[in-house]
Amino acid sequence: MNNDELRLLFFEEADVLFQIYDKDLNCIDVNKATLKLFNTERDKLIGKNISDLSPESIASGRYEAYLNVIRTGKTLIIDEFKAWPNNKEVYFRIKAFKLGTGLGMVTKNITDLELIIKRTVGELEVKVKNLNDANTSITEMMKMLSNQNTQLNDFCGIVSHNLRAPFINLSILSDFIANSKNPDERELMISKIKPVVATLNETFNNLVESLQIREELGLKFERNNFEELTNKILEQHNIEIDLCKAKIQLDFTAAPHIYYPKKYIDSILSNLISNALKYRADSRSPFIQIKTEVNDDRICLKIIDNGLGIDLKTNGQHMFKMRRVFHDRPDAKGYGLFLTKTQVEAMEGEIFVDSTPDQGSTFTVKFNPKNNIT
Amino acid sequence: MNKIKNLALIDDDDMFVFLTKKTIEYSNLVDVVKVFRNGREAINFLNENSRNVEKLPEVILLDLTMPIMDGWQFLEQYVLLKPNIGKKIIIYIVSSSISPSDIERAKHINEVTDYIIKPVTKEHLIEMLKNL
Repeated sequence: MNNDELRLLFFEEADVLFQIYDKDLNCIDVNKATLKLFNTERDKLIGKNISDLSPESIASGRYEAYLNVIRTGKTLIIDEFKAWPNNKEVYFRIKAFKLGTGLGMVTKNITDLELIIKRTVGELEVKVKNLNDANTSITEMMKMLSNQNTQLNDFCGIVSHNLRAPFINLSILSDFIANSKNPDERELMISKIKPVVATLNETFNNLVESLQIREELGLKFERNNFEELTNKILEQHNIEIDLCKAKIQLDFTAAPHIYYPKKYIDSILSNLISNALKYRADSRSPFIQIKTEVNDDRICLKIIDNGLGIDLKTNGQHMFKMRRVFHDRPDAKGYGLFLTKTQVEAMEGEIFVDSTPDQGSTFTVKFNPKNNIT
Repeated sequence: MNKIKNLALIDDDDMFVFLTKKTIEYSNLVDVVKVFRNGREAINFLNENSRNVEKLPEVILLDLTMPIMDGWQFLEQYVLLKPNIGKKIIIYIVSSSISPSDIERAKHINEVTDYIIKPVTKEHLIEMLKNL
């Protein structure tokens, strides 16, 4: 075989589609691969115009684009050309170039490539999703660790300060008692032991209680009615409320119930309500709003008062710490908010405060969605 | 031996104040002890007596955890007040906190001479006298 014969054979046998058209886009020649794809005979194609073979080429503008290739000599490449020969979806990559006075066209079936790309993209999407999921759980874990770290720091603070303080007082007292030669003074010192031990006891018990809240297992969750609980608590403060002519407004319409350990929700409400009463401003009669809201599928309990308020700029970071008091009151001991926060956080909720000195405070408890009543 | 004429104790722990006053009394190293229950009371006093050198303390023993105005807040206010005060005042932080972060924070405040971990002993008072 000579070279020309070999070239012809190559044209015939190549796996890609070769088509030759004249200057008016009438078909001059095609190879075997073309016939195979269109499932047709050579004489059914030869002499036919592209617009007959592929009627949609006019509407899609391809016909005009082919003519333009012949006019300008500029090669045209169409990527991802989709067609349905024999009702099967096939992707092509078409290259049309000027050949003599007419048009040469090489069409590659890239369906396999498309499939590979689609599969790869699909796999990548799954991988990205997995990474995102992993990222989310890492973020959650970091949040949990950071919470635990804060709790540990608070705990260290309590041990290194709140527990240490009464111990120091006890040790000085015992030194004084041991060294004192004056019996009256000894008596005085001995009498001072009791209140120190009481403080120590109280701090210790609160610390133990806060640890138990975090560790408590088998807590009984139940459906609690905010209004019922609140009314019971208000009854306990009856005398105080009458005395200071407090006006109290309840609105639990947004969320009348919560699924929560009763003793915790009772203690949370009780603490926040008694604080709102305790830290009232003497210059005005107390107005306390107790209500629930639902934000982002989370129940929020709000206790809004018009009391003394507090300067959050300077005291904000200590609000919920043990034995931190912000008003010079003998009955302020600094356990209430500490335990309230522990109880809220043990149930994966949040508590925060907004306040303006001499205008009032708003305490918000944002419960976890799992405490919603469905 | 020299004596501290005026010493101010800023602390809300009644028991600690009582015991520290006793220690000071026994040491016989201080003439007058003045007690403030929080930073605000002390700042008010310093403000009112900024020119009254006789009444101003030479030494302040400052607790950190107090209601209304704590020790850190007191120091912030004191820095502002200092240029108007006609006397050199030595401030010691006296805290039951052994937290390293508190001790570190105190180191970075120029107005603080030292951080004393409670209790205050006679030896501390002797040391203070040397620093006067």
